[in-house]
Amino acid sequence: MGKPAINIQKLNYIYGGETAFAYQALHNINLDIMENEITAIVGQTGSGKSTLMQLIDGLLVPTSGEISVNGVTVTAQSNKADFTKLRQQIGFVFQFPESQLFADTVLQDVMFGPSNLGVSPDQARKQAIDALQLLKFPSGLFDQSPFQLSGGQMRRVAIAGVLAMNPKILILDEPTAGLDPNGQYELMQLIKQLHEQGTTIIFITHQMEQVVQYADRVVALQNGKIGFEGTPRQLFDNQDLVNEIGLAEPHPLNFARKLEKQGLSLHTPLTITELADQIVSIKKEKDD
Amino acid sequence: MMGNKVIFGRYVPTTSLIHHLDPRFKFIACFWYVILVFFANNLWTNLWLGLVLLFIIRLSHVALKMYWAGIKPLMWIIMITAAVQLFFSTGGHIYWQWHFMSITSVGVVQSLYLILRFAYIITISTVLTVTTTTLQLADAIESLMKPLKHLKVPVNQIAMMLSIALRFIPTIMDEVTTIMNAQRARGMDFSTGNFYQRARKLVPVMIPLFVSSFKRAEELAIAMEARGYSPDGQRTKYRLLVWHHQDTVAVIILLLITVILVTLRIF
Repeated sequence: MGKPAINIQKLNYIYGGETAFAYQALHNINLDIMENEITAIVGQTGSGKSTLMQLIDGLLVPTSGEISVNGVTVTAQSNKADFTKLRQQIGFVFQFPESQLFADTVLQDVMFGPSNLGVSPDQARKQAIDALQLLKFPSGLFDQSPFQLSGGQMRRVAIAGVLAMNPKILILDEPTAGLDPNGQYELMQLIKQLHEQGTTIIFITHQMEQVVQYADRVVALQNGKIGFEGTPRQLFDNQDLVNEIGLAEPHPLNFARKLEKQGLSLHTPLTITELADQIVSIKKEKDD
Repeated sequence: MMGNKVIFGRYVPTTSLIHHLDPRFKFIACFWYVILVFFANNLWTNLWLGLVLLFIIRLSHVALKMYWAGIKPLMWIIMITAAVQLFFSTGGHIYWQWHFMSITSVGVVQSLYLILRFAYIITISTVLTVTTTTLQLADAIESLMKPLKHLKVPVNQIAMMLSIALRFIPTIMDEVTTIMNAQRARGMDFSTGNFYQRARKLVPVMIPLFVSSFKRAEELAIAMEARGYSPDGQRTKYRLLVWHHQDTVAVIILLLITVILVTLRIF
């Protein structure tokens, strides 16, 4: 605990280099992501969240600045081998990851990642089965074509494909987008479980309820700059900042603000339970 | 993704005179110029066409390096064709001979003209693509195809297909990037291996790409029908092509260029 898994210094990124369409997506980012923490990345569309994640995973070459992950450092001058090494430290679940499925069977698709890392076929198979079981994917479907599965099942296969590589750091770009509430809950529970097993988690989300419920730290991006970095409570205590960055408040907090307008004094409840507790205690006070 | 807002092709947004010409004129003029290039058979006609081209390049306000970027990838083809012309032409003074190969004065001149021709044709089409957006080009083609309606050619459908295809090129390019990134994140390395290995590495990109393209096509068809699209319906246009005074002037200049070229060729 307390040791940075990822260290980013003076990172800039410009899309489209020297063309007429050049666009600076990230400005002078300095950031530490702590080991064994769940970090939520929030911010409006186009604020640079996905770009930052792709840079951390070595999928983009920084325009300037440096990124260190577990002792592997890349800069604008690094060669391809360094970026490959960076990628091996991290598992990256893309947005709508089911669109990356390609193999004949579910199992082969999940084995793709570990096989690329050079593990033996038997070992890759074992890791694939472990990952699928972790996601509670029915073993009867292992030899099915991934294209015959339902949307939710495809998502699980795709996530298993990343987990099978046993990454120490896992990045998820809006992992619950497009899932039903039940699927969302199950997936977030899985993320929690992985975190308890010692994986460092970074996830992008637009749902502030997920931030307060699961994240240890939150990083808010605003027009390619870091607008806030700290705990979810620190963020939502500062209503002006939340508005300025363009974030929504979690539903319980939003409800509490309305109650406050009616004269109730509440203390920034972030979850439903907190909200309920505070209301109950106010009621008790009044009854006494 | 923000970075891929780049419009397909090499359109360079400046506000030059060439940019403002009617795309229909530019399209036809480009073809016309190519025909003229094949008319040019001596020093003066070639010089004249080169001069005209330089003038157009100046007017387009687009950096010379954009035009050079158009020629560069085709450099090898140009050089090889010119070499064939150089070694296998006969006639005139013989400088060098070896079996069936020879370098003659006619061969030297012909291969130089050939290089010029290639350069002219590539550059004039670059002028068209850097000064005209793909949408304008599609509109121009649609407008120029209109007479074919009398021959029962489904011009409306062809135009719709063309604009849908153009519309989705950036989307599909974005998607290729995303899928490649997703597979690279799963440990795939696209930059190593021999030709066969590299070709095999395209499978994890092509299959997801095809799957999503078919899916998207189906969704698009449903969305279009839901909004009442009928292939035989008469569609109105949001962007109208308007023929301006300057376009008429451009036509006259083009005719003048042609007349001068023919004169130079005859005398």
